[in-house]
Amino acid sequence: MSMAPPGSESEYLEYVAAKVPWLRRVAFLLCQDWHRADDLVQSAITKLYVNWSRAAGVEHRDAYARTILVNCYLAEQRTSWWRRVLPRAEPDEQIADEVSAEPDPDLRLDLRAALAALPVGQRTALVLRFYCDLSVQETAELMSCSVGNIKSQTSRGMESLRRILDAEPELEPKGVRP
Amino acid sequence: VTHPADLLSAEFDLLADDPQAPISAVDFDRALADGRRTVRTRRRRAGLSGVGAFALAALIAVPMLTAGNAAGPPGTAGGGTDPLSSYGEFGWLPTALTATMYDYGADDHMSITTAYDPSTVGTSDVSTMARLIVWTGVGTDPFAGNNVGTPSQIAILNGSPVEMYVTPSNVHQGVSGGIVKAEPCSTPDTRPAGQGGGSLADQGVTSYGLVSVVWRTASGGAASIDYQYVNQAAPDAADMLHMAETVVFGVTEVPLPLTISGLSAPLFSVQKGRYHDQYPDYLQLQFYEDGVMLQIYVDAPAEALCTTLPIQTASRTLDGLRFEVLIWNTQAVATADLTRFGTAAQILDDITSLGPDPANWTTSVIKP
Repeated sequence: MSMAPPGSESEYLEYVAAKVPWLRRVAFLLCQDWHRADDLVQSAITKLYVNWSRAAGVEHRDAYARTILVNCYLAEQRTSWWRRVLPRAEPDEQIADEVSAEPDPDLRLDLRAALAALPVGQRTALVLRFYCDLSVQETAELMSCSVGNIKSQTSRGMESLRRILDAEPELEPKGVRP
Repeated sequence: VTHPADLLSAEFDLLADDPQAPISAVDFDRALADGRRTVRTRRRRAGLSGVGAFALAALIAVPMLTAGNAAGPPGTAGGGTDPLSSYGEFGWLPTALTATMYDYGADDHMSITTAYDPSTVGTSDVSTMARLIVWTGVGTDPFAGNNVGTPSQIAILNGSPVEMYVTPSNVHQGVSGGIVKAEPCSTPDTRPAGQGGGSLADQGVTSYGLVSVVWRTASGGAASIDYQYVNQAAPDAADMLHMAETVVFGVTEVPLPLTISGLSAPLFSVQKGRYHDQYPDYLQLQFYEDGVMLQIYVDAPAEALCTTLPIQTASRTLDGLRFEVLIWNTQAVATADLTRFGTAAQILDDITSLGPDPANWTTSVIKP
């Protein structure tokens, strides 16, 4: 139990120290790149600080923090801003390079590459549904779209993953979507 | 039989618990510092609205105008990052608003586009203008804070409800929160002598007001339009809604005619565009941190230099463009600390001109 005053900086620091590893894992699943995941979490906890007095009053603070993180990710995807400022190769390209240059039978890398190959919406829906254990309704609210849209994204995402993993030899850079 | 979703959950767990993941580079101290800066910027931005805008204009815009170098409204964009992007443009404007200025700042995923009535620019501290603010991320927009009050009207925009606000006459509030000031007012200017040059009435302003509309966009962001009107009737709700429904959303990268290397001061705002008929190619970059404001102007060599009030100035002409660097002390910063980002001459040396041909301009202005 935190002894820091609600809404205080010390409470904020206690919270982010405890939650950053979790946020980082969610971010990694969304973007498939640990460095970019760090950038996303950095942005998210900065925004969390800015809204900390509000976050301190919400019932589900973890959900609030996760919402900020997912919105950071989706906003970056919309603006493609990160593509222009990060001095490294795009993560999808990195993964594609890894897969094509040095095929790895490890399922984790296969899944990572397959996830990276999904469109943003499908990937986000799958991560929120099956890693964050959100309901369809919660996922729809977080992604600001309809329940039907989430069901569709999830279904198509699952099907795409299955298709990509089944066709592993064909997983070349040309098949990796940005 | 294990359900595929359960398998996927297990695989996600394994993937996220990658033992070969690099050590976290998340920096709590930097989050604190950046967060504090954003909070300060928001407070400053709130102070830039309404009467607060006019007060700061007294410190910045008016001296610049006096010197013949037409500054736009003081930087209202948030702390910016490079490259510079606009997230929305007007699709329709009242006929009087023909001069367009863009304020850019990628921080908080926000951009500002302002259209002026040029005939009102430079004649007083206030001008007739419509300002479009687009936030692309939930959590940073006006709906995320506590500054959106109780809407006084609900209108329908593209099939969705739009919140509109009316504040009592003679009460100015932050427009970034979507506050409407629909009634003309006549407010005495209480600024000290020398910080604005007399009351607004002395400047020919008999009435002014503000009407705003704020709405949630289809992409989950938000937008607002603030219409400030001077010596004329307020725009009606139909015009406000038409301006809103014709906004064109999308990312526009803005090329600029220079690069700057080695400047550690954070970019605060960029203004580019046509603000006044006399200055069709106006460009101003502002950098701000802890009371020290750097301004870099790019204009034509023939225009007058601002040399009166900044602590330091330096200018030179390169490839047909004139670059001017100004350092301002906005919060009584100790003199010795004013040049912590370099002297005006040193900063000027770090600027590379890309010349007047837009084909050579870049969207990557700030270099390490």
